[in-house]
Amino acid sequence: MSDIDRRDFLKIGTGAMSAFVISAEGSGLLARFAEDAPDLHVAVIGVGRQGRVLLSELNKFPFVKVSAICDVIEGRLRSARRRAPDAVAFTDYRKLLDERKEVQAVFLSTPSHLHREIALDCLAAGKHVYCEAPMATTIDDCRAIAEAAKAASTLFHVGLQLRSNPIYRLARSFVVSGSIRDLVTLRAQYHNKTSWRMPASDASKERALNWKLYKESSIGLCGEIGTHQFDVISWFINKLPLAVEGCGGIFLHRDGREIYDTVQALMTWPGGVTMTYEATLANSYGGQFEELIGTMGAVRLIGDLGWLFKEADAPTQGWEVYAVRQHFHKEEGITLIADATKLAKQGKLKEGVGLPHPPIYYGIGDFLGCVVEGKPSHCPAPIGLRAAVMGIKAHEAVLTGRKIAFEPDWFKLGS
Amino acid sequence: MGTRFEVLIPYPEEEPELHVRACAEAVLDEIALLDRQLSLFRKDSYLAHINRNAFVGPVRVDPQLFELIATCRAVGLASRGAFDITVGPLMRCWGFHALQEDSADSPANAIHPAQDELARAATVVGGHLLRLDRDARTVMFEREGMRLDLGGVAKGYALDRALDLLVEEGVSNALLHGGTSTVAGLGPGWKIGIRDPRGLVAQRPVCAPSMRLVASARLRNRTLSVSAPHGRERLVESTLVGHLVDPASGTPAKEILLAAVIARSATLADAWSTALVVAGVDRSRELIDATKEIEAALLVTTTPEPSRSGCGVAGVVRLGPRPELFELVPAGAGSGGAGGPVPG
Repeated sequence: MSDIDRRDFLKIGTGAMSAFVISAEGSGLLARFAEDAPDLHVAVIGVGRQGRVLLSELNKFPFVKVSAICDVIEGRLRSARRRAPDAVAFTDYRKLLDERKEVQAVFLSTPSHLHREIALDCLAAGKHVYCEAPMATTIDDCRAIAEAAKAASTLFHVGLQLRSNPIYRLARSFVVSGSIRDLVTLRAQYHNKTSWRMPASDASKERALNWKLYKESSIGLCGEIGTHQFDVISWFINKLPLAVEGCGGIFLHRDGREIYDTVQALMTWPGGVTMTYEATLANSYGGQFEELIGTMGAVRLIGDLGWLFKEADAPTQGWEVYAVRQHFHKEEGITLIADATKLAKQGKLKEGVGLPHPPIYYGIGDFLGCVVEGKPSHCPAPIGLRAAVMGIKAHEAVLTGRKIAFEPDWFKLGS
Repeated sequence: MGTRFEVLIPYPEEEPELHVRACAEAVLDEIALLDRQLSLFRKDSYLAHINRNAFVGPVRVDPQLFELIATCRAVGLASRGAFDITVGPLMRCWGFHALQEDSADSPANAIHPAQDELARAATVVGGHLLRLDRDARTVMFEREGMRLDLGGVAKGYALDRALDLLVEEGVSNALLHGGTSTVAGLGPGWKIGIRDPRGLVAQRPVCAPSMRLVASARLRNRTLSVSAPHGRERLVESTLVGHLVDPASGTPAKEILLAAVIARSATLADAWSTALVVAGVDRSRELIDATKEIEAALLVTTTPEPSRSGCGVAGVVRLGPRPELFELVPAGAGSGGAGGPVPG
């Protein structure tokens, strides 16, 4: 950096503010935004918690202008206006689409069961759409969205942000190239002590605000959270599951809700491998992770960090000598670091531990990259459909106590 | 922030507990979000993003963060540099701010930083080196090596945002605090005891562990922040050195044992309490007279350098237009929570 004059750095724009590079070994998707990139006007529909996180991260993309926001809850809209004071606020997304013609892309972060209608209208209005996952809460809705996305000339991208995560991409390349050899078991977990209940001073709005707690509107932990995690497994091993069964209960939040605060599921995959899944809102121990366990090693992923644990008899390739390692009681894991080779050459390997941005930044970045460069998304609606089907059916299995065999047709667009 | 936040919401019997609990959770959730955004110790915080990139080019931030940084700069100016969010590089010289990776290497007993090290760090410290563009909402560093640290104000800022949320949800009576050192009282009045910080030395008790109060404050829709060098010291050549570094001299502050500040905004209370510890008594008097937006109580020591051998003698000085907001507690009087509600 000291050899490069600041002006030249801005022109080259490698990795810092004026330009933005996403690359990780095996990602296949490179987006670079030049310093003079034209403004991209966007809208955020749904400015609850997720919408607020989006608004915050969107500031990191200087060419992005949030020109409109929308929410049916006035209080949320007011809070969001503090984060996007230049944006025009709407309570009706149709008015937003009618009046804000400069908007080119929409971030859709409303309650999941409301995605369908809004997504279809946004696509019909010629907007690029980033739709939070789960894409929808019924297979029909997912198919409708996927059909509309197929017919549209604009981009549709599902917010399965882990598919954009550099650590996950790196880990996947290890799995795909055989580092853990043959799969033995799969595990994923989401432990987070929180209630999911929103403050509702206006009793008439309670069911709308607490959509996650009622059967009519929610696909529970399996749908809201599991979808992302099942999708990671499916993406890594390039397979779709065969069947799912599960159970659940309410262990802490006995507040009149209909959705379980704790669930467990078994999902079976081709080749005979079974995944155990556990999610709870009653305890935070162990947090969130996905694990793929094979005959030569295991991969453990926790969002912004990942490790490869090699068995004692696994072949070595040489790079392990300079790898960063972390110890967990008796286990020793090789810390997965994006761009490790480059960093090692600069003697900065340890600095590469962890991600410099929250995982959602990479999802947004990939979407914006595709919009700006006119490239197809690596996370289009058909992938959103497949991910959602896994979550929806896992939720159904847990609720009914029945084992559900996945019909291959569910994962496809209509006939 | 590495701080424990608590929120207390008394509510009438007819109000559903579920709603109140959900408000409290929403508040703690927002605080956790802000911690992730502002933490100096998280690689993926927005602050880290600014620190990595603001020398290369202007970094856009969200409006609330921009206002926070602008407010900090204003307090920096008003306090004539006693409060300075760019002071990070100097704090690092003294061994504070050890990041996760560094802490394994920093010695338990550090060496007094060399003059040239301090001089080098001082060249990248100073609010005048921050370039803020209000229209573009960007932050830029004039010099390479600058580092923003919002630790002196993050708790207060989080509480202010939490208060916004509570008010929006219709809560009119609540007590919130971060680490018992920054407190906000919403409603008719919360009485807060301010504990004598001596006897709370991190390494081992210097005096007998103290539950002595030096003063109490009643907060009616006001906030209180307490800053004290004690409690987070480092041992430097056998002398305990406080963690509040004076940006002007480059050395840790010594004269004031505790500064308690009352203000309408917790951000201001937090920032000013940090500033006053560093400024010392005489300068504090001048600054508070000029600013008019805060009240302060300072616990002042007459022994110039707190050391292992003794506590020294101290007295309380009250400054500001309404000193009666602080009730002094006679020496030897009863116990109470540190920065917590006092019965009666």
